[in-house]
Amino acid sequence: MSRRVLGALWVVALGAIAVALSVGMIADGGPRTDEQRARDLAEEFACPQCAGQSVAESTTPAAVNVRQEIARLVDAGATDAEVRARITDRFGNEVLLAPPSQGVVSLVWVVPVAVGVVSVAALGFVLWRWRDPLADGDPDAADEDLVASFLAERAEATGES
Amino acid sequence: MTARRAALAVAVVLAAFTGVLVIGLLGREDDTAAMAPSPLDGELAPALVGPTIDGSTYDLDRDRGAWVIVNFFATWCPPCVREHPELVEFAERHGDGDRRVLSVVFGGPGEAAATRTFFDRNGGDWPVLLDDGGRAAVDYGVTKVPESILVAPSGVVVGKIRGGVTADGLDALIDALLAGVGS
Repeated sequence: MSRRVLGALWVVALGAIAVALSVGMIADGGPRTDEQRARDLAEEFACPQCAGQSVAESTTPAAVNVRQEIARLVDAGATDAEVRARITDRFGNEVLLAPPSQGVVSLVWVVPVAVGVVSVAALGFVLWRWRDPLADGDPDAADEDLVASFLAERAEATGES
Repeated sequence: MTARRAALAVAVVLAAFTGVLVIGLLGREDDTAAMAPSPLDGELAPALVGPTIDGSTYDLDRDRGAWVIVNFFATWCPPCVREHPELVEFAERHGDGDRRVLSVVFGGPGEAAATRTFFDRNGGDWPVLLDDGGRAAVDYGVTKVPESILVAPSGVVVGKIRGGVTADGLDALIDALLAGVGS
């Protein structure tokens, strides 16, 4: 398989992965019930009373209170943003399991992506620099002359005709 | 030489481990009171209206004009049990004067009976608000009991105390706030 075909296959494979990831992130799987919405929102908040659990998982009184408040707000028709605002207004942004995507805090999202892109680019550049120059392209006339003279020398040395 | 280096490495690791352990123990939470910042500081206290354990209805607005210690507690919480005599002392010291206590039951439904028994045994005749549904606890951003929110006579939240309070500590806090206003 030629180098070009192999490169094209890599591009196609990476493109397919990117498309699949994008579709997976964007697709919402249809409309959610209020109960599902409340559950999803509860998973966004850290239990204010304990470490390592979300409000959705924890059975501590503080988490139960927040869960009930989320359910009340969802029942009352509040949007996701309004629910988040209400909870962070009372408990602070530290209860958000995912940092906000605005302001200075958004750097926690941007920096890893930037580092990833730069790393892949740097790796690609290094691999390109390391490639075998002899492996590039078909042999030219000088290469063929060199091989022919080498074979002739060897034949002479071994007495082969 | 190699053995000495290995011994030195082990000693360094042990020293680091001991240091982390000591720092962890020193920083361990206790139930002593500490003023904590609150998103509510400087804001009008959220409404507190609802049934009390004796069947009446309480409204925080009716206490406007007095300092109110809004004490979130639970009968199953040991630090709350330990601080209770201090609240009794504080309430007896000031009666129906300008420094009052309001307890809010933390911990979901079904606490009314246990709370009535608790107050019968341990004293305290101030209003005890039930918070079925936890609305008040969320309104006040309560994460862990005991927590006390100090509401000024104007109805504005002026401080939050995490952990158990003392009668003297509460008076000193209010006196300091009054002195700050007067100066």
